[in-house]
Amino acid sequence: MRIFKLFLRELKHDYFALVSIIMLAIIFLSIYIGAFVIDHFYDVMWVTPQRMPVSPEASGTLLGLDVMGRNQFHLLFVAARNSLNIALGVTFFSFAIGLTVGVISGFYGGRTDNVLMRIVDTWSMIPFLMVVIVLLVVFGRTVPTFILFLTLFSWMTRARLLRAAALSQRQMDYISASKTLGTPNIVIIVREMLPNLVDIVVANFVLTLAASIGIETGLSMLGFGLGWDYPSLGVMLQNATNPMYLQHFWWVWTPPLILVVVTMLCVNFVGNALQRVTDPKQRFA
Amino acid sequence: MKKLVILLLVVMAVFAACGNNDGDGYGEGRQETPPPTGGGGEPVEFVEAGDGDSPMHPALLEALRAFPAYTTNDAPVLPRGSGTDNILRIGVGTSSTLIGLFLGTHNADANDASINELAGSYSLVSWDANNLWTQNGIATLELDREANVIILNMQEYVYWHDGVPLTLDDLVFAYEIIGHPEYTGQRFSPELQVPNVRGMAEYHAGQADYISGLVLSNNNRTLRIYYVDPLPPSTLFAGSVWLQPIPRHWIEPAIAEVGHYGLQGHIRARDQILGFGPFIIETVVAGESVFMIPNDNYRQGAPLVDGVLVELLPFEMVPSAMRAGDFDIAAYQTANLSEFYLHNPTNYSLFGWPAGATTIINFRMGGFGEPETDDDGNVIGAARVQARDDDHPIMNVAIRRALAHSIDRETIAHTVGHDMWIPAPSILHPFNASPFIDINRQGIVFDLELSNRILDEAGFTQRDAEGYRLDLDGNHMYFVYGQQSNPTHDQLVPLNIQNWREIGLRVEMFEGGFMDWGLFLDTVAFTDEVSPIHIFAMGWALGMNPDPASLWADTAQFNMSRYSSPGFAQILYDIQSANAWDAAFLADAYDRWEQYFYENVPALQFTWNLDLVAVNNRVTNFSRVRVDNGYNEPGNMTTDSWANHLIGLTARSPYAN
Repeated sequence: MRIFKLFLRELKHDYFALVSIIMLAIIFLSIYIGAFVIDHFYDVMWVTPQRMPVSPEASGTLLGLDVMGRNQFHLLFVAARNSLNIALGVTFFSFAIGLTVGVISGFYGGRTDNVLMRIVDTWSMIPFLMVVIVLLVVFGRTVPTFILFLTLFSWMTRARLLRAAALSQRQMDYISASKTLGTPNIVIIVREMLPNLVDIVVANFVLTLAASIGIETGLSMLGFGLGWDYPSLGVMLQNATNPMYLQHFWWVWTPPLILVVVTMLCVNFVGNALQRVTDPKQRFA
Repeated sequence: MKKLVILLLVVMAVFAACGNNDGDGYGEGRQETPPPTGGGGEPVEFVEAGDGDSPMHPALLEALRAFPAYTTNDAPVLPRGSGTDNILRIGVGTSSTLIGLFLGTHNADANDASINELAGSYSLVSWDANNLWTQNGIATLELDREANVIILNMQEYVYWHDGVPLTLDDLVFAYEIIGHPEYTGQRFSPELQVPNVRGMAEYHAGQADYISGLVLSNNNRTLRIYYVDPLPPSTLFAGSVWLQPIPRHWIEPAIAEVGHYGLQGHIRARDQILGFGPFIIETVVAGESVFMIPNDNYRQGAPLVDGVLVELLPFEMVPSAMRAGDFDIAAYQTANLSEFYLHNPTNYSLFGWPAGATTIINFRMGGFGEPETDDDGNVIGAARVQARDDDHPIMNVAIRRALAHSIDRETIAHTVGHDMWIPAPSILHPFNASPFIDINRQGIVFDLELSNRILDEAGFTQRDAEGYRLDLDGNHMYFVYGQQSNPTHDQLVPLNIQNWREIGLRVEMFEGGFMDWGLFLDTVAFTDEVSPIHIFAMGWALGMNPDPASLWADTAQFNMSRYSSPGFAQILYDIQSANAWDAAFLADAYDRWEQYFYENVPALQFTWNLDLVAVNNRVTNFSRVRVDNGYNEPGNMTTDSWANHLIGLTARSPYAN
């Protein structure tokens, strides 16, 4: 596809993005492969309570044990995989909704557009974090509810963005031509308009992924997200909310922190490069 | 086992496993050794259970050996008049605020009650290490079973802070407050024998101006309290009768001003309480701190410090505040111990006592039915426990035994409890039932093989694809675990669920995670419905009376397992019956009680804990040895009771680390 060719060209001129995408590939691959292997051989959630987290030296493991006696190295892979899955899930579903609403709104315009956009406006006014926290408390903090509620409150910006893109596509001659030929609207949208929106979707997908990782880890770290029985980076980072752990037990909170920071940075660099690709004025190349 | 709802909240809101108290009965050490009069001296010898006077469970004794019995600081104390240097600073680690309603008849918060103990009044009659009344207090107590009367005799001359002599008329006044129709507090309680006083019914209904069953001598120094129903054997124990006086000359004008209904809002029930304790309240900063000055006319002698400042702080801050020398004395939580061992501070030491609080793990087996009514639909009796009718497997005793035998209390006592907790071998607690505990009893021990065997023998042999056992009809069965989060449960809950999975029982958290505290209470405590939760633990403050009726009677609101059975009710009845005046009969009843819990497992006690107090090295005469003289002299400075007149300070500011 055109965007990827342009992206490759862009990478040659943006070393940050180049390094980022290589690191990202390594991180993603090792996380998924590592988690698969570790899940197969160990029960990472097996608890053997300890008085305090056990240091790497004392436990003879790479990253020590947490206060529940869980191997932090093993836990890190599984937690990272789960966090990534959640972030991917939220991003995917919010794009699915956002794309549908945005394209319908942009393509049909007029009253449909007006009604849909007012709904989007109203929905966006709801204080997102507060409502998500309440909903999670009411409906239980499981992975499906987590993905569901985060999706429910993150599709609106996607819808606005894609509506704008669809609106501009609608003015193009190829759409008018199709319409004149009597092609059904649904076929025009799916077969003719959507391929022209892929650039924007791909570029924003990556940026949204970074934001979703951030929201999941943030909520879980503050104790509003997933619980102790589901390993995720945010749950691991919860350890950092304990002043004593923060001061004395680096191994229970530093590794997930570094992983989150590095992943989000890389995703952002790549996402920015992709976004530039979609806008000829911003391109380096 | 008397407890108040608010105290329950306090206990649970802090930690399930930390100490708290009961408003009118205070915790105590368990020794009869005289107190040290100065710093230094021989370590206090503890007497083991079975040796006679002062029984203590050997396991608790062992845990207590890790702590000093009293401070060994023999430097000269700062003289009185040393100004702000000589002020004892007490830190109270809590997650709530100071309510500030101190008056003895009205307070319902542990911290308020402790201030009342220092600056207000306390029980006129003293008690010993077995919680039995003694004759060493301000007044002597005589129990005449034939006439069903309690006779109090003042043997000491005591004065209120304003110099007015204390008489037993002040105790009569306390009864008049509690029995008044407009009384707003929680002491009009059968457990304190208040409604049982002769003439109380008429007075409480507003038909009489005085309580006819309270008969004073001419000089107001002898009081006979006549009762209607025969006094139960629990009257032998401290805390079973209301004996705390309220100054009539001080509170009566307040009542004239605002009425009984408004008394709890009056400043004389709050900042300006009048008492006969060792200290006098000087200033109260609402919700935050209380400053007290010494009462030089205190009955045991003038205090050694120039003032006591009690301040509240979040309990997580206690270790760092103690290390920085911000406080002289602060109640410690077991959860703070990790930090203690990490830093090994040398500027303060920890003192331990058997805690007056416990945690019980309940298996929920029912709800409450409709209250008993007469033909016209008027309520005439309390609602009774009703077993659930869906025969959920939790009703099966084999399931409960298997669940209980798979709870690894030993590990949690080692990790969270730092080996200072003891997995309770019995449902009785040594705080109040020490003489009745069979020290040879093992109780319910952690044994997964045994659990598996119990389930196999009971017929739970079929398993599903995931390895979980099916119920006797071959259906999936699962149990719901409801719990709020705290340092103990954060470790206990995952470990329990893991162990239960090992024996093939599927246990899931209620709604997938730890519960909000309010939701937890609504779901398990304040409901008559059959709760969706089958397993949960709840913390309790303990009174001095070991009678289990308030926790286990089929009408008791706090019967958290919602459990009752004929055999169970019979033992409860026996403990309260007239036969129980016979010590051997009572001991036997408690033995059957322990055995019943061991066999039927409606619940099990989690651990016996210690209360910890951190004491700065500049403090002298701090000791955990209780003196039987009516006041909880130095030995009783648990979280309940923080200071006394013997405490002195030997440096101008608390040592910092």
